[in-house]
Amino acid sequence: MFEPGQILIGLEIGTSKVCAAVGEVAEGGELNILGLGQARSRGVRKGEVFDAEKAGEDIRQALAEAEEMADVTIESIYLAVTGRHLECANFRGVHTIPTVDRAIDAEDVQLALRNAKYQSCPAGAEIIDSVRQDFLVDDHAVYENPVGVVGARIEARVHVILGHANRLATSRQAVEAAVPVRVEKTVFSGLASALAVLTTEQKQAGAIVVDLGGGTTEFAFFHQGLLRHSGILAVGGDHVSNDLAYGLRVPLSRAEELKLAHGSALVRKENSAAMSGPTAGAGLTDRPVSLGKLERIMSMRWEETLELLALRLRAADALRLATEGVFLCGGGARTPGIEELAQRIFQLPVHRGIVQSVSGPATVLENPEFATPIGLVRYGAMRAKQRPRPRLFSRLTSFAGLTSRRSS
Amino acid sequence: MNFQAPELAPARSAHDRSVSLCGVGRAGARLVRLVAGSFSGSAWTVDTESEAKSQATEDIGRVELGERTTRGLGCGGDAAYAQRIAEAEVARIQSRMGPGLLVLVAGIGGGVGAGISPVVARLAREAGAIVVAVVIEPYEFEGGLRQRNAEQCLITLQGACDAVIRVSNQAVARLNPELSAIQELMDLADRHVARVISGLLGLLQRSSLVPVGLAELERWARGRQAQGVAAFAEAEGAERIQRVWEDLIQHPFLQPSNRLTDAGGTLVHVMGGPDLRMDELEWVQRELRQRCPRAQVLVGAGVDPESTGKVQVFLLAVRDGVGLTAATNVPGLESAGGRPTPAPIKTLLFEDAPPAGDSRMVGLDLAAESREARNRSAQAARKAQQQQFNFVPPWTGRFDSAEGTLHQGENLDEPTFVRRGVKLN
Repeated sequence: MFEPGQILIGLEIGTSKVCAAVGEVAEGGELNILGLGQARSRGVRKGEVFDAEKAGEDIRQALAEAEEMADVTIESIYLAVTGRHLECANFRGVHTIPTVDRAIDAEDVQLALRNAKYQSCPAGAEIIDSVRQDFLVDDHAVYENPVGVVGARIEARVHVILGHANRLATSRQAVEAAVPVRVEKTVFSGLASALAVLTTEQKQAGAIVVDLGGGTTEFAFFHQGLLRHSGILAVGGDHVSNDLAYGLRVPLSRAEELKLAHGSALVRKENSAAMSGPTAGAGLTDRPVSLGKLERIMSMRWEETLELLALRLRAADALRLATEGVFLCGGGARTPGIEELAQRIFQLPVHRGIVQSVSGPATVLENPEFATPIGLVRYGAMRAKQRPRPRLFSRLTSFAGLTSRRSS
Repeated sequence: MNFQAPELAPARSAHDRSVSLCGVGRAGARLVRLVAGSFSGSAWTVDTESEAKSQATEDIGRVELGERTTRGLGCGGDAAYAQRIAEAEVARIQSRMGPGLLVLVAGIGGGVGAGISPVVARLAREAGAIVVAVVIEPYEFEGGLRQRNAEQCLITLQGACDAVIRVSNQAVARLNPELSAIQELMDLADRHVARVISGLLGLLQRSSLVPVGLAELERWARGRQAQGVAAFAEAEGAERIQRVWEDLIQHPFLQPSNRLTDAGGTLVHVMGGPDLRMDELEWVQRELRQRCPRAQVLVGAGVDPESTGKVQVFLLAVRDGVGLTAATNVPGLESAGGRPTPAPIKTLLFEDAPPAGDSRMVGLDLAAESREARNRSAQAARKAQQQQFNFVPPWTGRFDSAEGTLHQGENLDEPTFVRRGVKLN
């Protein structure tokens, strides 16, 4: 199937941190995380690079750290992208079979898929990923694989993740200008996190992964083993800190500290009127900050964010079909009370997302923030699996220097 | 004074502008009954209570919805329920629709008013009509549900109508604190509203010398989703125009006074007897120009042979619906009564026409007014405006320079509690 010993690298240029994961496909096809590197992100806002120079420094640092830890040389990476320019939609494409009473073959399917992907694609957009959903033959029968079915018209339904071509190029450029690596593929970060967090069974039964990031919040919904719906909301943990800074009248950095130390997604009763508590910050007069206020500001923001997500998930019928529940990852998943709040809003069981069927240091795997880079590694492994062997092989020769174990 | 001859078009006959009047809910029906006497077009009401049947009169059509579902008991303040009822019986409402202009009257605190009036407005627009809604906001004492209904309904109506004119019962109560008897107060409020409606209808129906009617209103309101306030006053005798003007600008529905100053468009229609003088019109025009420096001003005039000695003035001030972003409850932007004003604050100024000299829209041209005089009045107004215009730019902190995250007219970068109007202390 795929080459054991293959090294894959995932890089996420997040709003709060830049993070790289180095993974290896082990003998049994299992993933093993060899190294992880991270740096505080300074050049990213709402998931998109706005200061390429600063972002470049952070990327260099994160990759260098990962290289050192895993003892490999990085040549190509999978890059996670997000930002409000991304659009996730379900497209349809039709292909008419020219001769009547002919069985549909693989080429017809490909043509229908191509029509679905490109006919609705607006100018200036780039398709990041597309996942085929199902096929309608002659407007009625639904097939997962229509090859061999006799029909006159085939309609493909595809979930497509689109991005603004130039803005995607900006992210790629930021990496390639900073370090001598090749961006193998850009991947929607919501999809990457979902791949890391969900097991095959959960994907089959129906599950939602919500990545509560620093600048953006992404979601991905899997059902019957396929990505059915995904999306992004350009609101994240930064907004929480920003709200706190405004409402409590403290500097942003202090708001960030307060959020981490005392934050909560729910208003706890005992704090509702409390004025005592942490102070506004060093260098300022010792003005106490009201914990009750802090919790109210935070809970309102989280509630709104989750409600906006619920609105979009409900529209895709995801809340009914996701029997396995909702998995939260990203830094926001650490917020105390967020699971309870999410449970109330989604009316589904809510779990902290833990990276599944990957081996590596436990500290890395249990950390909800690292779901995206690890998911990128898994994405790379899955992609390699799908590729025909000769191409995979030729591609791997470029890894020759780092895949010494392969020959043993 | 320099008249633009083509503007003085011959008066149009009444049937050119078919105006119909529709009252939704209990308050709407009551007001329609109050004004129907002086109204010549078709008037009808929509309600869900079989009780209303007893009050119905012959010249007013009536559509009773949900006879089976509510068993004639009404909706109990549930706007969503009322909306479902109306949507189930769309055909019955549609049968009454036609092109022309529909004046929709509803008390939007109640379930029927809040739930059904957007449906009626939408159907009317689909039928090709221009819809102007006159909505009555509930009293404060009526409680949270009705206030919420009203706020929700205002937002939907603004999307569904060409123009929304808000009148507030509470404003009447606030301006008449000495009137403590609730019956009297409510009657007074009803009379105020009824006069505004009949003023609006009169403007649209009666033939005028300097007409501002359906066409003007349409051109003006179409697609803007305007939201406005209106007032009506009359006087007779010496200095009648000055007195009528005093009444107008102190009218409860135009309070607080920045509703006039911030207006993007104002329409005044002066109706008088054959003795209506030119200088009276000019006077109104000048006063209005000073009060609403940024507004596009329309002045119309009509003569009614029967009202010698009297003058009636109807004033409509509208601001565009474009600035809805800042509309929702920014703290500090509260009306005198302490209730948050859901009205849009951030109005795009000079959006489609500089205020002076647009002779296409303005019945009386200002060309003769000297430039200096205009500048002076504009300057004076600008000074006044700085004191009255409470515009707080939305605070987005670290996202100030970033592209906003818009969702249904709100910028999500703004703190949630600010947008929801929550007071922390």
